[in-house]
Amino acid sequence: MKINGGHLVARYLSKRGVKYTFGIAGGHIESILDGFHHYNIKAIDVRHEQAAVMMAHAWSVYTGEPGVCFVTAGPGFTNSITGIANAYLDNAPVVILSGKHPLRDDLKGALQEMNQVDIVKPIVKWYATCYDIKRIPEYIDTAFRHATSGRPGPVFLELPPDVLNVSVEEFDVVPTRSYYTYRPDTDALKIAADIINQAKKPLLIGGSGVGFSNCGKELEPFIERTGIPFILLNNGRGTLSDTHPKSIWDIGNIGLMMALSQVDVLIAIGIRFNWLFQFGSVIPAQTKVIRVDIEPTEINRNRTADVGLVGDAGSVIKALTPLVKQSNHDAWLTDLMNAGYAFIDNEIKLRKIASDPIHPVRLTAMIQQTFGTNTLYVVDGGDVSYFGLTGFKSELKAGVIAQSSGLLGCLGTGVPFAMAAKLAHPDKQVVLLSGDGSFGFNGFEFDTAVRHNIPFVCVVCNDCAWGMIKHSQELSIGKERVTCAELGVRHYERVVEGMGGHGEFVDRDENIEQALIRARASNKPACVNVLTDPAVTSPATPLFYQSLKME
Amino acid sequence: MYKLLLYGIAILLKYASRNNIAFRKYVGNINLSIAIKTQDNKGRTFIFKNGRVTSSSNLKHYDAALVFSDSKTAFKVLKAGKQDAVFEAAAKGKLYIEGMAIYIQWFNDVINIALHSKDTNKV
Repeated sequence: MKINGGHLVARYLSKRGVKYTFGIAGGHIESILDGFHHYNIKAIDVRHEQAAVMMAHAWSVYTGEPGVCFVTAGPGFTNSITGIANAYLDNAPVVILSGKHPLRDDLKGALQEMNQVDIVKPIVKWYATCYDIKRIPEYIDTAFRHATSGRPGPVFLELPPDVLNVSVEEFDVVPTRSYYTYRPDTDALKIAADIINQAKKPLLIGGSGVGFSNCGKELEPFIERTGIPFILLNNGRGTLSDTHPKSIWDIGNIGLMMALSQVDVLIAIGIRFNWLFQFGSVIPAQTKVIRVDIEPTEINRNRTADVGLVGDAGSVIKALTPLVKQSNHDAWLTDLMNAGYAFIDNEIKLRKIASDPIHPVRLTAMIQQTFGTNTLYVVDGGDVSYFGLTGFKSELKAGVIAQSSGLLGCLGTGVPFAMAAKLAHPDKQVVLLSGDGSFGFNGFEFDTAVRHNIPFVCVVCNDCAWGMIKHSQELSIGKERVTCAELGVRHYERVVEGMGGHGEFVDRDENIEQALIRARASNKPACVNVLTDPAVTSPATPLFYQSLKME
Repeated sequence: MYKLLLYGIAILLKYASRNNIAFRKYVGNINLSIAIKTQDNKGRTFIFKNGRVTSSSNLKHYDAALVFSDSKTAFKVLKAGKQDAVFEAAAKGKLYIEGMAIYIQWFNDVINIALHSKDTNKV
């Protein structure tokens, strides 16, 4: 019995338990698509390859398993670049299977002939071209190993027709799965425990390293024992519920920045001190810092750690927990929350008051009120990222995700992430809060959602502008010189209706709730287009403005 | 004393905007108004426009405000000039922020630069 290369790819993925792949069909990868059909792997075909990579990326965030996507040669590959770069800066395990021009026709001017590997090199963790059909399973296995071992990341494997469209005798395909972990040495753990045991005003910040480690069951007893207030950011969000009594998400990013100025011990787990932490400068010099990261080079990056614990977040926390004493930091937590509420007093008031024009903080509060905490929230935008990240609370893992506030600042991730969230958790409500600018990048993916029957509610927070850019320009060069920042009133809900989804248009506060309820009840991919106050900006804008000021 | 301290801040900022290079670089051309006031509306607004700083006792228009429960607390916190004092007052319900806190943080940085930067030169 013979098997062709494309089927061999699908057979490997099937044996590995891959249920979904994301991509767009193409001649160069036709035999892989037929393999998906044969091995009953659901291929979600999108309308632009960047959305395919973003969906695979999102799949990894929502399931903890690597996401798999497929792109055809040439433009299929080049279209995927933004998604790959985003996954790379987000350390997300994504396996990209790419077509390639025939090796047989190399250097002759073959259709879509180009050097793809040299383009993708700087934005993947590993890359390769497979030249031998018999080695396809081995290459894909290696790709998965690189994507998931140590700090995760995207990997890129080219498969030319010379290996996909030929056949060999069938042979056994056995995916390898390595269960190993990194743990720091005992002395380092003891030093860290001593620091924690003496802390008066401690804070724990967990990032994507916590999320990819899926270490809620290790983190919860640690928090219970130490009583340390915490905040989980990025893909770590929701590893413990936002509503956990020790979580400080109620005071949001502003509260976090204020807290950082006060803490005597900071435990930073799987989080980078990048520009959002002003490269570590927001942490006072006298604060003792314990850093936990699976990537050794991250330990002293932008801030020297008092103790660095290299390892998988869950393993390190598990090893640390028996060494720390039972503590109570409730008085500190109360002070922290009270001070935080005082700093966001304005936002708290705005949530409760009907506004005309509609304030984004009010809109976010209305969405939260309608959908509750048992919902997966996705956020996409500039200012919108701030409003969504601070306004939404979820009790679910990865319950509030805003890729646009990640290192690539990648707008357009909203619709792909919302679709993947729903596929990963079909029993959960999925709500996307998108800026109107962001919506433009992948709004056409509503077609994908309709074709594949993936219902979710997208609320467009529509200030008719590239809000963050506009308000940043107003701060820096003045209102009278704002350039390329206005978008105008557009009826995105009609675009969605035209593709078979449900649409709502809202410009009055009193109509928000019913529009949201109708959108949810439609059980279709739905767009609620809400006109919001174009004069409003978020705290993220001055931060953004300040970060690019050079003189 | 509280009003005198606010007036002192106004003079400090105005002086720095003319003589302190680090201050001028940090402030740039930002257009922003920050108020320091009490709940019974006593205070001052500091206006940053095109690199210049002015101030006014008019408390009707500002982008963000540091609002103290009373002038005694305001004087104590402002005189201390430390983040800890601000935190403590906020935690005890004696201070809150109107508008975006990040503007207040920016204003705090501006005052620190005006007070501590030695990068001065007549410009």
